[in-house]
Amino acid sequence: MADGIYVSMAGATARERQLESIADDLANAQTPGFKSSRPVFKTVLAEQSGLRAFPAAVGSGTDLRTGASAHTGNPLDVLPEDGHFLAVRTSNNGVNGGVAYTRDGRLSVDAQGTLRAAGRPVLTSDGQGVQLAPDAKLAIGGNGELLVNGTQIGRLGQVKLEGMITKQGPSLLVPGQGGKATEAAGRVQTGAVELGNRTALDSMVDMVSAQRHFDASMQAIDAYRKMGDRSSELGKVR
Amino acid sequence: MLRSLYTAATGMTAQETKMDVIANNLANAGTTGFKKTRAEFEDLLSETLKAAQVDQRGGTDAAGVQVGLGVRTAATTRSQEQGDLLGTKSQFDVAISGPGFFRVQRSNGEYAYTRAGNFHLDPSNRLVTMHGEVVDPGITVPQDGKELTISQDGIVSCLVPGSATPQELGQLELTTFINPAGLSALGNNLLQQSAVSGQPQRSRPGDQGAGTLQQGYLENANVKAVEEMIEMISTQRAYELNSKVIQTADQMLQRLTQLR
Repeated sequence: MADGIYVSMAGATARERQLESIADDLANAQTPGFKSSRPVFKTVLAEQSGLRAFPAAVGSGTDLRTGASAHTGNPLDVLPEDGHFLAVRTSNNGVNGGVAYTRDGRLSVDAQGTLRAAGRPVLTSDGQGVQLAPDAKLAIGGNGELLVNGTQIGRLGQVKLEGMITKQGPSLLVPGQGGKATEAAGRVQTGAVELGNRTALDSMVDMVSAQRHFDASMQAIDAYRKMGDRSSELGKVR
Repeated sequence: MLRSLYTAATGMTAQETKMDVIANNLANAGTTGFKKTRAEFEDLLSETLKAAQVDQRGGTDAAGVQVGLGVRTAATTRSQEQGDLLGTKSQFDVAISGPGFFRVQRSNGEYAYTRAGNFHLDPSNRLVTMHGEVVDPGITVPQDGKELTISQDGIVSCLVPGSATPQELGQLELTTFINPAGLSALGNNLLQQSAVSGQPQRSRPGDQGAGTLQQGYLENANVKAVEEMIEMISTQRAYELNSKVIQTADQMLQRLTQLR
């Protein structure tokens, strides 16, 4: 039977991947610092034939656009300016030197006095962690200055990300192959957080289109099946 | 598609939690010293279906295929915005304007913190909260004391018979935290120090930005009905959108089963 049926199957599988990423986008529509990732499709040529092209998801691109912001009124919620990311430490020997980037600016102080963002120790522009004394009163300035009892002890480290970016964990991003992070000072807004960056409308449109394409692939598989049935009937003596 | 079903389910569960939080905020819209909470979400780790690699012809698939697995509720945090002050004319009512908390001692000896200043006197004339937790540092009013006054910086005094000048009984203190949003709730308007709140710092009202006291006023809950209603609408719609994903995945699976 014609291997066109496998082309349709590859198409249907690709749409399944797309639906999975849409489900993730919608589930995280209100997650601070969430960046949507979308599957990247590419045609894959079969070994022998130069005629048929198989679609397949070959990668997922991370969408770095800024999401809607929500006012919280909490002075320790910081929202970096558009396109800027806060630097946090993941582990000392992890990928990218143990540094990851996030726009989840919900800062908190743990029992040891370490300042954390997205659950990870936050880094200053000098690449150092921030340790606070028990009686310290922390405030964040408009340029990301860390003010302890009115004295500046450093500035929140911020970077801009370019090229291929991969996800490393909850709201954490690291530059992938060919991607890079460059230091960039920027303004921060306090008392606000950024929500997921994929709008409900985009996701719904994508979902309808994924479903219709899936249906079309199913229709094609069905057609191939009918053709198979017909060809096996050829030469049948009634 | 099965993965989509579970991912959408995490989204629905998260919105359900958010709805619970909103319901609690609205129910406490008239509770003295209540601070609204909000549910904090974080995305779940992405599953890598295919790692980044270089293909035979030298082209690269720059990134692998990563699919996120949904959302989870990471925490609920408390907003520290000031609530409106309501005049009550009661001499035992004290409101804090500023970020501080009153420290009270519970019956088990542990300290708790509250912003509800609707105090009264217990049988032994000590200043206590609505539920009988003793205000710390303690204030004891003499049996025949009258006209209790509490100054903005917390000095409590009253008039005793036979003296024209008020007698000073003590000074109320305020406690602040680095991250008050991280305090854990005990119920009855009481909060407790937690792993993320930081250490308590005691200070006198008016010092170090802890806030000042207003006698004869109570701090109302900082819940704003309009904001909660908007949150409720967006929560409901987000819930519906996630249920649509489940519906779509189901229809696609149905279409698949029709193949044979």
